[in-house]
Amino acid sequence: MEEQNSMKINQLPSKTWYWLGLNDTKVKWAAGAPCEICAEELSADDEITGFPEAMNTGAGKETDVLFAPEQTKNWSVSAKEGQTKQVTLSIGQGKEKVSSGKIRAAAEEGASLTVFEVFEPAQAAGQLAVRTELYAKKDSRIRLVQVMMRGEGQELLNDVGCICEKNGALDLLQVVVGKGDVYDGIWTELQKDHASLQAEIGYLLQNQQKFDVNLNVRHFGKVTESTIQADGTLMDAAEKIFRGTIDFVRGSADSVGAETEQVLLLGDDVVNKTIPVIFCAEENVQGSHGAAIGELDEETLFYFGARGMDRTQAENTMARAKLEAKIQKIGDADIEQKVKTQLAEVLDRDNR
Amino acid sequence: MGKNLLTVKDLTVNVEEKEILHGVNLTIGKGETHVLLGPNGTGKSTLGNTLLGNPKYNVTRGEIWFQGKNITEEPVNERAKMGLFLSFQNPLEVPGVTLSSFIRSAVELKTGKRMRLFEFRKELEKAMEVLQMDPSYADRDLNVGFSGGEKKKAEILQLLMLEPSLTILDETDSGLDVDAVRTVSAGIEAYRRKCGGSLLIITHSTKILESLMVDQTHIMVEGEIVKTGDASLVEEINRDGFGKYEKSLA
Amino acid sequence: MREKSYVEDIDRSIYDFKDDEKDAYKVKAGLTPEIVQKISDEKKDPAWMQLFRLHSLQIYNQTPIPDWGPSIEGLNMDDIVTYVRPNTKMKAKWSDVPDDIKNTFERLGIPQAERKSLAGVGAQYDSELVYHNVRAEVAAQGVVYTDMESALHGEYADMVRKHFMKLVKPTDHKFAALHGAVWSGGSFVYVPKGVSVEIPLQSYFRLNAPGAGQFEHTLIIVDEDADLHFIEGCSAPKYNVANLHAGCVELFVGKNARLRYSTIENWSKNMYNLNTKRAQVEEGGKIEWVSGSFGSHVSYLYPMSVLKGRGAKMEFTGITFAGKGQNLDTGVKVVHSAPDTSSYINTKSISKDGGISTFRSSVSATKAAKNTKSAVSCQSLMLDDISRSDTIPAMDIRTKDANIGHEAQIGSISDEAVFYLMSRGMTEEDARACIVSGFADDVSKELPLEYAVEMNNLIRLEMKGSIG
Repeated sequence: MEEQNSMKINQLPSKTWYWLGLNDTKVKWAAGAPCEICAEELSADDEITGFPEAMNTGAGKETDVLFAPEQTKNWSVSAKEGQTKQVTLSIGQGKEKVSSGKIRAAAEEGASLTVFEVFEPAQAAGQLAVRTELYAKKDSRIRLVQVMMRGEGQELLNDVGCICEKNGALDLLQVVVGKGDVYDGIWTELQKDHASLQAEIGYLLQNQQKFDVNLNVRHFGKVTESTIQADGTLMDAAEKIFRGTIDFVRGSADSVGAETEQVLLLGDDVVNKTIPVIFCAEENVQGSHGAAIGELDEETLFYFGARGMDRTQAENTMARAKLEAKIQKIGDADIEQKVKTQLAEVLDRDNR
Repeated sequence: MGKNLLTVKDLTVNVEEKEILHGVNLTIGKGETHVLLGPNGTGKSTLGNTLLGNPKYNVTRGEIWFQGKNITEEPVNERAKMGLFLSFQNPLEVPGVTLSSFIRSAVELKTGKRMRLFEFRKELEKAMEVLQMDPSYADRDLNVGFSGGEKKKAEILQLLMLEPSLTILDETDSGLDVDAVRTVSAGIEAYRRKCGGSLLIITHSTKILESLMVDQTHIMVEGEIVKTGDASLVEEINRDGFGKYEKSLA
Repeated sequence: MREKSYVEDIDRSIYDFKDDEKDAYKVKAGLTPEIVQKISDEKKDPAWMQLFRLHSLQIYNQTPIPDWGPSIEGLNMDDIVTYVRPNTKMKAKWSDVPDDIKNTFERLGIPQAERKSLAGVGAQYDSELVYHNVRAEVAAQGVVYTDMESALHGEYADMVRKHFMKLVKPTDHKFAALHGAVWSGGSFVYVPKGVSVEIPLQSYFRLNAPGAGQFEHTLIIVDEDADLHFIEGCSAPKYNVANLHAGCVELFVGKNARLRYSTIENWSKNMYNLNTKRAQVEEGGKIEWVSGSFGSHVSYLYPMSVLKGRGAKMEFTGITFAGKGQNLDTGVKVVHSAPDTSSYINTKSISKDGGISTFRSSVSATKAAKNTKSAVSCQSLMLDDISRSDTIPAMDIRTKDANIGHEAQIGSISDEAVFYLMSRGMTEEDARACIVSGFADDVSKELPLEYAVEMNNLIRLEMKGSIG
């Protein structure tokens, strides 16, 4: 096995009290072989013109070593001007215990590109690291759907960076249905006017599973817009960290950013950490965040009760419903079916 | 308790330390239709919620008997399984749970039996037809994006599928246009035909009663039932309003 | 483009008078064991306190400066005079307080307020209390209100020793350690079981000496079923050198007791306000914080509440106003460590003229905190595009039986609201002022009347002239 790098990932853009353990996450990760990516219409290391040389990503610079050219392959996909294109990438750990890959996706002017990334379970424990860099040019739209279905002991580092030009949009959907720990970093720069981000994250975590998220959106352009919605359930002794940062840079006038998080806590030993940050250096913007964390509210329980369900039944129904609501939005029947099957498989009997 | 389905004795209820109901008595027999009338904010919905066992409403005195059993301390889901049904004024929206799967699991919980999907769908479609609901609603998320009228219909749909022995309709007619009230009434009639269940209709208007045979009418004012009579009482209220009963308390 | 009206800065002139320096005793600037020893000797500390100070100094020297908040580079500890004793012994009558010091407090309105509406007053001038008095009828209830030094030696010495820096330990952070080493002045309050103090007690802190630090220690113990409102006011004239305030407030709220702790902080804009406040609440008790932060160059201020007993409660109402040259990092911390505990946090912040305000918070619930409720609401108002407003709230929840809500909004004064008020005949200036005071209303209505008036003076948003 390769030597392991200790690194700090998912760093909060502005530190706060160290004792909260939210400023960053320390992981040990080895740089290994390229991962396996199966897809049509995907070229290995095909240059896209004008793709930004370097891009900020959510997991951060310290993970660069995992995606260095000697460690991995680059894949790329692009939608030509005005074109509508859809690709599905099935991403596996391969035969190696440790593997990594880097994907670049670009939407040329006026194009619409949908990328499905399905992170598949592997046969054995291991580490898979994938970085996805996205570039949405003028008037284009990139839709990135990431389905994380790793198995027990199979860690995933999912690192995303994105730049949106004028009126460019990123529409991101992440669904976590698995048993492996997930480190999830997302960094979006709304560089020019009218750029937008819409991000939705759904998860259901069990046992000792960890989900560690660092989502940043930086508003540079005027009239830019971001909405972030993270909804999920923690069972057993699952642990989740959600860092969500909306940053209104001076000059981003008339921009709007909204972030909401709903966490249903069902396990006796759960750990839920949430830090929804707003930075604001511009007057005419509207930023908001809201979070609701805890058990089912009385009103919901009473309604379910009035239809004959006890507390546990109501809780399990809601936990599953929260995830189903995200699965429905995947927009590809095959993948949706696959995720539902996976959900039925990974849900422990007690949690059904 | 004889053949009485529901008996409420001296029911006194607090909400956040404030007494709302002051010793309510009420008896409903099998197959009967009762109407509970009264001005706004007088405790009618409190009675409906308390009968179902909403934990927000605290019973400080009195008892509720249903099907010969004292259910005052029973949790809401047990009461529901015994055949008590409440249609909500503002039913819950649940993204990720379809109307049909929600109803199916409620039916299965009540009967304790798995239901074959095909049979269930057939029956559901029939019920939706009665309510003039578009069949596509069955696969939409529960109440998500439903209009006020559609939510009420979805509640009546559950009523038709669950066949409870006692149904409490809590202001089901409020906020509905004439056509929607007619459709809901048709649904209620269908329920009566289907299983002969009893009804307690809580309302502050009388539109919804036009097509129903009313056995008893109760007037509630300031947390007390001040008058019980037959169907003619509904006409009296239609004509004269509640003024007379409100004064009698003062 | 329409002209933007200008929101006037807080009028500081009423605080900005200076007295001549004529202190009786001043230690050398900078911090060494010798200096700490000297302070201790000068104050006739009991032996344990002297050891405590020296130990704290060690911790201070080993602890790094925090790197997560506003910069405190402008603060050179070697330049801060830690102990400045005014040229007077503590008095119990205003008429005995030397004229210049008395005049200071007269101008701040303290004696007048005492006559009108306070149960007791303490006035600290630089490092020492110069005045302390409590109404006879309150004293007769057994309420103790005295300066910390007297408390260390008097009847309550054991109680002080038992509680002193047990809640805020010197190891907590660098400035808590500094406080432990050089603390001086402050008040000790004890409210016995079952006693309700009907009208508030107040301490007023005035820092007059340039380049000095103020390190007062406030220790309040409210025993079972007792009730107290304590008010703290702070101000200082502006000098060109940095001043430092590293006070420490420790509040012990007993079973079913209630304590309201109100602060209006208006230090001058050369002040580094690195204050630490903490409350521990027993079963059924309640702590209420009301906090207004208007002054200081840099602030780090996050009153913390430890809800230790079943059913303990916390309420926090705060406002922060950051104007030109100010970087105010304020907020709140709460730890729910028992069942049925609840916390309600409501804060407002305003940034203008390049001011930076940061709301920073943490809400923690341990596994033992079953049936915990917490609601946080923070709103920020940006009055121009050269200022900054950040919100950094953290939640760490480790019990499923919780109900944790959080909401935050950042925005500017809406043009529609201004337009509406102008359509009813207001000038634009009045309209903007009206909206901003409405924004601050939640806080001012929690304050006693005199303080609400003072705060409204502070946020007097006179809209004069306009900037292009």
